[in-house]
Amino acid sequence: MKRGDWMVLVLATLFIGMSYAHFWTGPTPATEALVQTGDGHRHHLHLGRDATLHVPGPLGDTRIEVHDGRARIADSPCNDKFCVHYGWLDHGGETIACLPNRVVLQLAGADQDYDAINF
Amino acid sequence: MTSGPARAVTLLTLLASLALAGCSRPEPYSETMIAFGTLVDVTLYAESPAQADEALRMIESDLQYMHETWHPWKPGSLGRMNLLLPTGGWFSAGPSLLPIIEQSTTLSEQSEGLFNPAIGQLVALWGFHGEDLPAGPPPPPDEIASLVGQAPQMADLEIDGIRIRSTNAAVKLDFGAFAKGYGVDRVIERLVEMGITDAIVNAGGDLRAIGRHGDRDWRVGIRDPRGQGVLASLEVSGDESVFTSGNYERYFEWDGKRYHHIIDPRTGYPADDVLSVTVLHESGAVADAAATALFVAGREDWPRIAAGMGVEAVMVIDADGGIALTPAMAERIRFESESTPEPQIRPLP
Amino acid sequence: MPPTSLKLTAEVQDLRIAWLAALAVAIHVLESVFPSPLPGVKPGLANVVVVMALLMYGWRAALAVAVLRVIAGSLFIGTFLSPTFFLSLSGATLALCTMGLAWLIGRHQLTAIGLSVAAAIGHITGQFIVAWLLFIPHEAIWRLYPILVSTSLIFGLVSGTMAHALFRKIKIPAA
Repeated sequence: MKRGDWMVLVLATLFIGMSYAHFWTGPTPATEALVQTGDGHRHHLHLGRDATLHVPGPLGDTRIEVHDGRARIADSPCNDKFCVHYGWLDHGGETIACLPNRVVLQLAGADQDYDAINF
Repeated sequence: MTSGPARAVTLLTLLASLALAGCSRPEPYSETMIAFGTLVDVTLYAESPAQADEALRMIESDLQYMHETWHPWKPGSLGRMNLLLPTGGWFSAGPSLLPIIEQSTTLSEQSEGLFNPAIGQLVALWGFHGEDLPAGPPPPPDEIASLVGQAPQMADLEIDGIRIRSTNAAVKLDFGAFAKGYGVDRVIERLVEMGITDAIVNAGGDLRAIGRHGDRDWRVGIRDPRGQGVLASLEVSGDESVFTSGNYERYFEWDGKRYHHIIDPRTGYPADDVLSVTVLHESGAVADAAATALFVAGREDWPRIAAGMGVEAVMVIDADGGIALTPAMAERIRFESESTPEPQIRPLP
Repeated sequence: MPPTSLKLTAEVQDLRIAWLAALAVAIHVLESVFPSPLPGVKPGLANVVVVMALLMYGWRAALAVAVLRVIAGSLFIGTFLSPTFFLSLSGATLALCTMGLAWLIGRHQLTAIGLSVAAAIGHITGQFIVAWLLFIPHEAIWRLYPILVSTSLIFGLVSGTMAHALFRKIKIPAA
């Protein structure tokens, strides 16, 4: 091996070490919310940015809110409003839906321990 | 050019790559859809995105069709049947309904009538027959008593070829207690026909899984009936269904009391001895019907009913939070936290 | 007027490049069989052939082999212009960039080993960038990066060492 090879190896190792430090520190909360509507549209919302999204459904508009890294269905034209009462979603994999208005709100799972939850 | 050994290695590599170029690994595809009146999560392993898409679209339309056909009162096959049954006369049944009637009759008998799809009128009286939940109040006791007294049963139906009639005018069919199980069974059947061997179909929390999740089994979490967290987990593979009936799924509250959708046909009121029942079984229809029947049976009688219905792996959480397991379930289930009370093992007779 | 005829003769150079490209494609296809934590992202073992082409025949040959491997490899597997293709393309491109950088800085101090390691790091990084920008715009995939770049380093080191050993055993006349 020549000197240049060693240099490459050293630089590469340093670079890898830095990448571990950068990408592996810190918690992994969910970073993205996915909204699906009955007509097949998918909206991606970044949880780092506060936002309000209105999505249409057969009954009217459902209002989705993102705030402080969490998301929720703030209002929906359904009768029971279970989706609204559920409140804020804050961990990866969590899902809530307004079935009558055909809207699904899901937080992208960081680590998913289960393939399905039975209840 | 290049020397002998190098060339040999190159040629071998070329040959090997030719042989392996045809290999493709199936990839997992997931989708969440609203179908069958609930949220349906599907994960399946397909050879190509095209095959996955075909399968997912098929699942969506099949579930939609089943939902419309079996809706107890909206215009559709079952809606029509329920209008004609009280007349007592013979009429031809929608062909897709006969198999579901037959299977549910068998299950109803095995459950000593605790699983009883013929009590559609009672279900409608409480308001649990549609998608929207009732707001209350609970129905008047005399109306409940009257329906209970008329005792509609699956045995009141007579079938001759494709014709059917009811000898009890009180019979109205509502398959809500096992439609999800039956529907999931049909969906899995179609997936297998399409050549898909590894998939999980989770319809609103009740599921059937075939094959495995890549290199490991499917991991199913069971929600704690009293809260949001995961109480226990099961690893399923091969061909298994996990169905849970709980008092928290569909209910309304009135005057501080909770009234849920699992009605005891003997009393006409929601069964209140048990919080949830989880059944592990190959068939979704059997698991679903059994979960309902065992819930109604209560903490004393459920082992007898389970034996009668042919289900072996059962977990029952009673109204005081006590957990009972069959030996078969105890072998499979894993509790997620140490703080769960020591489960009681109840062998089946 | 005398009839014109077109005769195509393969030059020795073309044959050499073809040989190397074929080998690169073969390795590329073999690699596609193995699973990867991120679909489509591969260690880029075929880069070692590009390194060999560079050392034996120069940059023109190396570029030719790299391009041929990406295009022919994807045609062979059936992924031409698919997401996998773009991942492969970006990997090969950035690998060439990192190799080029190393070459510019100290080509006389480098053997197949150093070049292979540089190529491997470039390759996996190029793939991640495209995967993140186009296919999984989700921060979470970068948690896999440190692991995959570590394995790429090892793969690059191993394949580079083997290439270097092979290179020294073969007496190649200068191109």
